[in-house]
Amino acid sequence: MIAAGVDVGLQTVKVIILNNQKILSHVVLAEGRESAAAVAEVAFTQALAQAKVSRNELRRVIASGVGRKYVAFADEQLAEFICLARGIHRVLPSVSTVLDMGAGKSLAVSCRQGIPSNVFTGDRCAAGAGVLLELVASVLGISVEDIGKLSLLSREPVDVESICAVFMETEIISQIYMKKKPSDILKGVCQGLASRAYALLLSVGLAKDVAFVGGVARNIGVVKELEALVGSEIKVPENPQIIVALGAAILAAERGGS
Amino acid sequence: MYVAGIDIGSSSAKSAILEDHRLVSWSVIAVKPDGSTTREVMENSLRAIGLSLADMACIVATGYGRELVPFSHSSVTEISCHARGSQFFYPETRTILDMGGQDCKAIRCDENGKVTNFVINDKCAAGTGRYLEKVAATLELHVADIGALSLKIVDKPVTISSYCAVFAQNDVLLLLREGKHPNDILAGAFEAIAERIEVMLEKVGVAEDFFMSGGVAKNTGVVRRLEKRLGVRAYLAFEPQIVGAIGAALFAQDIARKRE
Repeated sequence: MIAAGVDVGLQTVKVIILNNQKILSHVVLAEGRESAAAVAEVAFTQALAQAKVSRNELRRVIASGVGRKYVAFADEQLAEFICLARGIHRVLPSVSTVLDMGAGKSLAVSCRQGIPSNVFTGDRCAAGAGVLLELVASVLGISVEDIGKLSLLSREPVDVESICAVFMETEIISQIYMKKKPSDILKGVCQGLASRAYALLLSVGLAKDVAFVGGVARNIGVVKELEALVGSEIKVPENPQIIVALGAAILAAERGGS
Repeated sequence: MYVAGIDIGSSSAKSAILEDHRLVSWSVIAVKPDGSTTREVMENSLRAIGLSLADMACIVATGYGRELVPFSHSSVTEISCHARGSQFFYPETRTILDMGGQDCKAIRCDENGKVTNFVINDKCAAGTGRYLEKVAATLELHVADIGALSLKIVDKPVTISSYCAVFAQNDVLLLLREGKHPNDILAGAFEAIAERIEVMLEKVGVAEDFFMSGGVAKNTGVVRRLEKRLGVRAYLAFEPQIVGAIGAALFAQDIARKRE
């Protein structure tokens, strides 16, 4: 049974094509200035080509993510937390709590055997999501991908006082002016994100094993800080960005053709 | 007797000179990072009436940068200065909403301008000048124009669910791409702000005789929407940004009179 899952996030579209248990292809495509609908279509076409599958071989397509309504070719739309629980169960079956931090949102889900039992969504606030890392990278003149590694070099983390991304930008500029090291500033920023993530986990009910997915999970700095707060290992799957799309694809395969 | 008040904010600096009960000079300038702003804003007011620092019986500083005014004789909190300053323009004021460059304050005061309650949001850019600047920049408009434009609905106001300045920028871009008119987008953005401010105001309660100050009070789009939500009329000074400086000048007057 060939099925597809599409996750339209704030900045990227993720597509997974499954044949029963096997992932045939996965695509992660940046939206840039294009419309989400157009990018979803392009990502979908790419995923089909990589999987060597044609559109009419697909039994079902499920769309999730903040922009799921823009996926014209989806048979069904599902909320992220449902897809998240299912997706994480496939890659890390021992996980009971999963944190998803993307560019534009954060949420924590309690789950067992792929079924969600509780969900807590972060406020729609840039300081608690991936966009913060982009703002910070821009101010420091580095790439987002380097933030994690650089933060690990810190000896004296800066205590970032602002809880707003807009004010944090200003605060960081003055810290640079005061000759603070970028690594120390970055560690402070990672600590801030980790605190927010930790608060979400506590709100939903922290139970081991804990997984961290979404684009921000690729930041080793935030992962380490979160581990320090949680007090135990945080599991990050190999491709943390595709978990919601994977869950959507699995559910599409389960729900079959219409 | 001349007295002066100076209000050093995060985005702009303001000064005001009173001669007895009259406002005779004032200045509003953008804060520059080179440290020259404090002197410059004071000098602007002095020069306009041909006076110097020595002619001031007393100078009081307020605002975020109040401790960094070398020529002031004293400093007073912004909360107190806004309460006094509002009553200079409208003596019946009992509730003040000050919306500045980087913070928002809701203040309750008594008939003497003494503060009885207040709540401040300086942690989140929502409802501050920063939010307006970001929205204006995304639409490539001047901050000064967006208020009036938001009241000229073209089709219908769109809903912007984000009070967050960063996400609002994103929402604005998406809506532009969908072909929504900037005026309608602005309407949505200011509705989101008004809702957020309403929540803050509920914490102190809004009595009639509601006064608005600060740069954001110059945005008629925000003002009208707030008035509608609260069901009260807002009073404004002719220059909403100088309310704090005027309050500081009034405190300077108190000090100068005590000396005499």
